[in-house]
Amino acid sequence: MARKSLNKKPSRSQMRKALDCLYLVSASVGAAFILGIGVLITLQVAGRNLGLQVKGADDLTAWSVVAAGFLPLAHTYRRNSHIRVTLLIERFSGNVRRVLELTVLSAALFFVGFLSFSAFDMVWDSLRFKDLSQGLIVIPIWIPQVSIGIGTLILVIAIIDDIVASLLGGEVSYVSSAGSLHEAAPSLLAENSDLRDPRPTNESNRNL
Amino acid sequence: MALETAEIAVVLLFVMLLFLGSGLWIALSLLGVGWVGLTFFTSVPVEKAMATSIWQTNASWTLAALPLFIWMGEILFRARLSEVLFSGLSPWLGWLPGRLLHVNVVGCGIFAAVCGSSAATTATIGRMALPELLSRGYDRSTAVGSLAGSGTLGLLIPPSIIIIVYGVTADVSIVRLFLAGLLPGIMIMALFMGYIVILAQFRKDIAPNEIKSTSLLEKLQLSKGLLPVILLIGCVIGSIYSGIATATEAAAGGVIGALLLSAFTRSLSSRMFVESLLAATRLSCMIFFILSGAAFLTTSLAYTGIPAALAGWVAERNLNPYALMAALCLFYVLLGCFIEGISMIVLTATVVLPLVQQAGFDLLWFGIFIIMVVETAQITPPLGFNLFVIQGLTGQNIFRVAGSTLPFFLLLLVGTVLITIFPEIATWLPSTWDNRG
Repeated sequence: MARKSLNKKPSRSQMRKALDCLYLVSASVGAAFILGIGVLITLQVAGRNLGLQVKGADDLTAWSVVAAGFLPLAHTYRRNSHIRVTLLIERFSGNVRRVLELTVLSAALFFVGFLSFSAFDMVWDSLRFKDLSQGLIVIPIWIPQVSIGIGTLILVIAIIDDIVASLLGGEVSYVSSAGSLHEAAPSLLAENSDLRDPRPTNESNRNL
Repeated sequence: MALETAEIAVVLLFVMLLFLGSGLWIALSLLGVGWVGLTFFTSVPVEKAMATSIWQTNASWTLAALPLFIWMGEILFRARLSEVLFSGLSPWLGWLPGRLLHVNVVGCGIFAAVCGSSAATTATIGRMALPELLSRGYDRSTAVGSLAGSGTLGLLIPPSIIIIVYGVTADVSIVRLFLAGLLPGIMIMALFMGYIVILAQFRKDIAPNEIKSTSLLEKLQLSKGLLPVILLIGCVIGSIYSGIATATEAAAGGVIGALLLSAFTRSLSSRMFVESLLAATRLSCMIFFILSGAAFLTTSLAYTGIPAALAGWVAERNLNPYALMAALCLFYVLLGCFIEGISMIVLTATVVLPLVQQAGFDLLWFGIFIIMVVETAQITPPLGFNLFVIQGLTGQNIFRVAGSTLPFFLLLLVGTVLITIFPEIATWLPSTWDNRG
């Protein structure tokens, strides 16, 4: 009852759900692009053997690589799969650590923000000058270029999300989502150390 | 008004160390240093240069091999391969002095070839092989050491992710790099196995005396699970070497092969499919982001003129090329204590590659050299990356792990010296491929 005034805004858990959904959906679209690359190349090879040329598959593949690389940025960030050197920062805890993480996050926000701005600037230039792709498939080049802008913009949102969480006294996503093993081997081990993964044989050896 | 190039270089180096040390993400550290360089030391419009350089690097057909090979590894990682490897290899290697210790080496070699990540290889094979070896009474120290050493093979044996990253960064053909890595990889395996054989002659206690002779038919029966894996590696490498497929096409084939193989071992499910794809998405996203940061840093540094100035400085000094390689080797082995392999290569490429070229080295050969050095760095005592993975597996003190690993660390250094003296070990196979016609 005391929180009646908050009822007009979407509640925090609704906001949380919407954001998490945004991160996961953009990552899934990125994943779909990887799947698409695989399918495209397979079709291309199959077509070549049958004497058919899949027109413009090379261009489509190259653009898909960009989308696959940038759309999952925020999800990757929250799962702590982007690597960094934590040798020094890990020596601190409590409020000092919180201030340090906030400093790092602010720097990250600035650089990712700038990158996103730069990407949309490129898209705007391509739109303005009506740049077309050079190759077999002729489309406005801003269409594949915009995936850099969108991906980095969602990462900006994810970083702000963490800054707000930290200022409100919560944990930042990338710290709470992983143990140290995750960072030591950002790739496959990370998956294995995930406690939701039911792999009974390895229970005892799981954590570093 | 304008600062000297050398002073700019010192400032940027300081900024880089500050960013990296503070815990800023590596990709963003690279991007940030590039931003500082362009903003403060040139009049180039930063916002124009940044996205353009990143777009040009990432929109690449060649780069498509990266997510596909990563996905292939993620699928195979979930396909319960390690169990097959142990039971399939042991009947063939049991007669060698040192017996099942060789399973570690060869198992890591095979697994590394398909999964391309050294920490994952160490963890997967280790989880399977270590308890088995210890329960049979093998020497703990040798078992741990051979595992840590062989785990690093993941970087060298194609299709390795780090080789693709180097190829993209240095603009060297990935196919030629794959071929160049093959013989050095086999050489390292031979060095490790040779060491175990010799050690077993002097110390009978490292391997128990289990005499279990099996007939050829039984051996084949035991290792029939191994066949699809060998076939898959053979097809990937073979299709590249024979020229049927480019690296990217072989990667697509590898994914299909891996899916078939996991269907064969009954580990394929829709959940596993989605999980492996998402895991591959994250890992490749991480690498793409670092590559993007590095692409912008390269552009930025080129405007400041630092790499050219440094290369010129080295040329002026007329440094002994071997001294240069030794210095680089030391530098990377130390760096390996703080940063993992891919970042190490991308981080330093902008500055190191022009320098190496200036000194008269072939970038193809240097790729294999640097990857072997990075391999070595993974087990630099006492802080190398793989050592922590082993520590996680065994619960042993990190210094004990480092002590067990030391002989293998030294063997890797020997390997690095060998390919420096005899560069043909790396360059011969690609040259036969070039002459194919």
